[in-house]
Amino acid sequence: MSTDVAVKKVSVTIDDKKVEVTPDKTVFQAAVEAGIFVPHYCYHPDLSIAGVCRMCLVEVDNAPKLQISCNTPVRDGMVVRTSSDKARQAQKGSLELHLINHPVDCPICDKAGECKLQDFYREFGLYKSRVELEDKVHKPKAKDIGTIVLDAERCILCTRCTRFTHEVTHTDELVIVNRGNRSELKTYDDGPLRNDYTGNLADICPVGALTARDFRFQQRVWFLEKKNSVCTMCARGCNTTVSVNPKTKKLYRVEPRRNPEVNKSWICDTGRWRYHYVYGESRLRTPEKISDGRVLESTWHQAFGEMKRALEDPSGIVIGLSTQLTNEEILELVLSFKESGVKHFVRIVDEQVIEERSPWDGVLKHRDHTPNAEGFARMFSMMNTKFLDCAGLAALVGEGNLRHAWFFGLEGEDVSWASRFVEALPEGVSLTLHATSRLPIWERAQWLLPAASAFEKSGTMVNALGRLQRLQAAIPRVSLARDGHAVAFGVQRGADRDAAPEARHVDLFEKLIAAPLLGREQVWKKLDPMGVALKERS
Amino acid sequence: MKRSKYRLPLSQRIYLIAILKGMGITARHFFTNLLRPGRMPNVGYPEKRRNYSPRFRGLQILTVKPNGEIRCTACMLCATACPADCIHITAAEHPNPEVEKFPKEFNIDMLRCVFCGMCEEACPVDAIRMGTRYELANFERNQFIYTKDDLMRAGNYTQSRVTRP
Ligand code: SF4
Ligand code: SF4
Ligand code: SF4
Ligand code: SF4
Ligand code: FES
Repeated sequence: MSTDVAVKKVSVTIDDKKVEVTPDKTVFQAAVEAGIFVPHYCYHPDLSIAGVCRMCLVEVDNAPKLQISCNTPVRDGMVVRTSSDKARQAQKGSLELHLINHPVDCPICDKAGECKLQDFYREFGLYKSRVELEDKVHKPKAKDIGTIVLDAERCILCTRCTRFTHEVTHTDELVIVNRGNRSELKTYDDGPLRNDYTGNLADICPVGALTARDFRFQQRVWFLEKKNSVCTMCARGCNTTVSVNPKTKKLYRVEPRRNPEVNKSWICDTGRWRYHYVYGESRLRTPEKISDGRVLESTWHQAFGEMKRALEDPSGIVIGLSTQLTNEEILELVLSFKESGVKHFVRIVDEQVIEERSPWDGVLKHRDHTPNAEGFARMFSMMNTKFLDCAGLAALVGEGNLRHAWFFGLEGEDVSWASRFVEALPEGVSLTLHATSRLPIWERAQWLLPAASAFEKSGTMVNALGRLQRLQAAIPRVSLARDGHAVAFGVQRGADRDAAPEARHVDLFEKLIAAPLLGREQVWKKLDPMGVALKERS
Repeated sequence: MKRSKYRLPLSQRIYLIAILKGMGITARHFFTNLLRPGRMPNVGYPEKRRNYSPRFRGLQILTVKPNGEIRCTACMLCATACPADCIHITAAEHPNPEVEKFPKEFNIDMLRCVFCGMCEEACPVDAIRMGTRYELANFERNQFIYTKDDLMRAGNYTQSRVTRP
């Protein structure tokens, strides 16, 4: 019975637009559904409602006073006006209040360009301040609180950040002390922030009071273009946007993209800031041949030539595939090597944590630092192929006729879990590694091939929740790096003559659709940016 | 019939009068310049230079604060406004939190600059001005990249050598 009541919708008229919403919604949320924008600072879809900024004031029916839309529940037949003269006047008044002690130092503020205060300031045209400069209350500027820089003077006391540390990370580092115009945001012990999600504070702060140390002063935001992608630093697969300057073609920041099913509006600091390996010192830039401890810069042509020759006796080859590869790369590599007669495939993954399917910290972070273990299993069952684990690899080594091991798609500088697979190989087996970075654990390899990072390739991945999500290339491949498609293509030809076809991932994605895996019609271009929940794996 | 309609008059067909007229003008200038050199419009550059208006748009100047530090806050508004894409700024954290942001590098590629003055218009803190220096020729391409130091020094440039002919 009660569920029936809850489902029944109420109708609200907002600015002459009628919307039907569930009765648990607030006027603000109804306005969002109607596509009407109400100015706001403190409301955030993934935090509790505070109702402190008074920016969202609207006129409701014949209520004598204006109401804050973010905290007013809807009622059937309600008539709301969000931009009547009275409402606008009130919103303008709230804005002026926020600006009283604000330093308006936009030229040096990193938020400029995506700052709500700046946006409304322009919209409402409050260009002349009625407060003398000398009368403003000054507070500490550019205070170091770890990964974030706090400018208490710019803070408008919306409490989004304190609610975040209270409700999401449960660490409560941020507090507002004092009262009135001396209210000031600070960490309770003046120490640094101590949680793994600090970067989100810079996102949710509607003004420039909290800015990320990593991105500070790197770029002005209006120079950047955003591309939708997913994080590949763990099995969660948080939805992200990647900001790239189209002129320098460089990656400058990774931000969360809201997806209520996966990551709400958050990503962890690892996912946000670990991307630096893309341009890091250790990044492999050309194929390297290592013989007798000497590293020689080589070419793809030579590497492909040698691999093709080794492929003449496919029984002596084992292919290792990292679960950091995309579904399409896995398909391409396995299908092409199977065709050449290779029988042994190994899954390179952190086996101790592979079964864990929920975040260890209760928020987002998974212990499995690879993004596509789930997709890997699905791809192999789709292709009716068996893969070996580390013990299986050791057993295969025991048989004694293994001569070559080719490991593909090892990404990042934090792949210590892969060292077990390298150690399982005896002296006599020559190892070819396709990885993004040169690491001490790769020491015994004979070939190091530069791999394209997750920011340089496109494809799909399946996260720990069984959701198929799309990865999109945001930057051009660094130096001579290549993705799995190009490598499979080159090895088949034994030469670096014809380049692999562009957008190969799209062809393979079509194969995925043809297979029963997806369960419904999908087209690469139209794949839902929020991903598609797949059926349970049998 | 038609042809005769477009025929030039005799006076023009023989050219002589026009030639004499032209030579007359040349002769007049020759004698005025000879007798009254003060009225000659040419400037004996580089010994003598024209006096440009202070509003002339030449090489940019990066202004400094009374303490000698660069005034620019690295807000990049000039780089945003520049239609020729020739301002390249690298911002950095200033040790003084009151200043907060300053340009570690500030380069202008004068080969691309069109002297439009948009940068000067855009600057919120009067840190970049169009100077009056116009002698920017050089022998090497990389010499046309004016660095922060060059542009700050450009403020010392005065028209001391300028004389009115
Ligand atoms: S620092 Fe930002 S998010 Fe926190 S209260 Fe101030 S304005 Fe709001
Ligand atoms: S929780 Fe995992 S997927 Fe999400 S941002 Fe962090 S590392 Fe990336
Ligand atoms: S004068 Fe015009 S073209 Fe030259 S730097 Fe300034 S804005 Fe750019
Ligand atoms: S507009 Fe002015 S303050 Fe801003 S970067 Fe240019 S010169 Fe510096
Ligand atoms: S958004 Fe409603 S009071 Fe802040």
